[in-house]
Amino acid sequence: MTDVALTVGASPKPKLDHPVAPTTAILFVSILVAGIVYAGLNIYLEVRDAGVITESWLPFILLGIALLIALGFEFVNGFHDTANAVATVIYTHSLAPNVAVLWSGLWNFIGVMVSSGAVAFVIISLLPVELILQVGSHAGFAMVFALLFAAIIWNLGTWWLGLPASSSHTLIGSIIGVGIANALMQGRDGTAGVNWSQAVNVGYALLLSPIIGFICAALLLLTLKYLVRKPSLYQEPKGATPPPLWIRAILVLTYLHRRLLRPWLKRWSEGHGPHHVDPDRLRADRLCLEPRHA
Amino acid sequence: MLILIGCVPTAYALNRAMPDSRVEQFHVLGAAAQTALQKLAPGVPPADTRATVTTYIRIKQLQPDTISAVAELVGKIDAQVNEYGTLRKIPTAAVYNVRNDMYLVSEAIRVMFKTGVPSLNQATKESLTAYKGELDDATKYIPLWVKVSVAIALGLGTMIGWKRIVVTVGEKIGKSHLTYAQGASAELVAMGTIAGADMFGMPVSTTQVLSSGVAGTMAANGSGLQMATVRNLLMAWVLTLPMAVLLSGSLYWILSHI
Repeated sequence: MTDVALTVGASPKPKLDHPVAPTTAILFVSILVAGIVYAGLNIYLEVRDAGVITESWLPFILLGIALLIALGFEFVNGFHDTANAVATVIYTHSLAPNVAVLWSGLWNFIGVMVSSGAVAFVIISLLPVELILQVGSHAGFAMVFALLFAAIIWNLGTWWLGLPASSSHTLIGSIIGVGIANALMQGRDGTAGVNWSQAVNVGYALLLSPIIGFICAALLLLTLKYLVRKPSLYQEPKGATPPPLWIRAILVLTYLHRRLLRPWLKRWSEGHGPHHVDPDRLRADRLCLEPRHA
Repeated sequence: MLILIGCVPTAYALNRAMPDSRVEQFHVLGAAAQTALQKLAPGVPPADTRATVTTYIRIKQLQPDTISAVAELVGKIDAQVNEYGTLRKIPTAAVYNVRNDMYLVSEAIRVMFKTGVPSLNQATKESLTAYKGELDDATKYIPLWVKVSVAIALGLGTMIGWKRIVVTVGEKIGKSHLTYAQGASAELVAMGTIAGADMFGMPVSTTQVLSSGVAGTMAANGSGLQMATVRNLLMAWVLTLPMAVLLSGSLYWILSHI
């Protein structure tokens, strides 16, 4: 009887709508401001150090806007990335939503910091070489902003609809798009501008991932049901009770694996610098940035 | 980084933090690479070496004059760096060209290795790899503050906006609430797949594996699936690539004509 009383009182749905505490908001804004000031100061010092002769502030204002857009791209990537990592731990009450999300953000931060950036340059090498050689030109900027805007638009759109999409696919698609447009505008055959091996890779991913995920998870669940005959595991959580310790451990560990361990493993397996990365084995993730799955 | 290089090449086109002591090493490795390349293809380099190498990188087919062109570029880079003694002192007017020459040589070496044409002996390979490492250190670097800024942007983005997608995965794929066993199964499969993908270089997407893993456990548990969500998910996944191609292609066209 006590069981019934419990279920009536508490919904198994996790509470996602915590009001934002003022201290959290203040912390968020101060990190943001500190980041912008830090970046601005560094640009200023490095530019001064390089002895650039400045006649007006205009180029720097433009540079600032451009950098904000690039960082906005990362910001939006973050939306998709966490969701993917925290959904199961939250819904099984293994971790409280705010804890899971905070950790996720922290580990993402660390993940970028420990990555070598090698993958970023591999991604760059997939772009049309003549545009890379003239990044300072009109066409160069058109390329950079086309990539960023396309990825931001698609990521924001799918996010708004609540659909978890793959940011790697978005980025590879954007790169291919610029390649085709550039080839066509130069009067070449549009297909010449496409890195076909990348497109085919995405095609495989599209075919493989859902099938592997669906079938393997289904089989695993059935095996588990057969081996561990404990009905409470296969019913919806009662209230906000966390799962038994071993299930909780699996959930939190897989979550940590993705957040913490992988960036390190990845860095270690990257070898000894950019010249060892083969672009065709790459699952591209970030534009200028770092290796990770999403 | 491309934005920085495009806007303020003087400050970011070359790695100004590279110590002066490296120049000696740079010179030795450059000379060795040039000799090795010249031995491979003796001959007069083409008039426009840059254009020749650029085309080579684009179409990835070796022409009779490609290697001599690369060798010529190596010589040019070396002469420039030697003249100023260090990367930091290369003047604004020249820095952009030096960077491009370095980038071209590095990419050309990469393409040679990848296509396996021409076939190179071990000594040449080692010499070119070492030189490429120097070039990449000079051009493919990321300043600490860029990393920090990106990490902050991603970290903060992570902390907001997650709700919409979490609700989809947690509530809208299956008809009943996610159970403990379902969560664990989906997560384990996602982790196993990532490990496999890393090992074999398979192009799977975590996002897709996890969401479909949840769907799989819902089906296996007899909970039933919310077909509308599943349809939307599949549609979004299929459309991602073509839509991104279309978006960036048309944006590029528009932006180049402004």
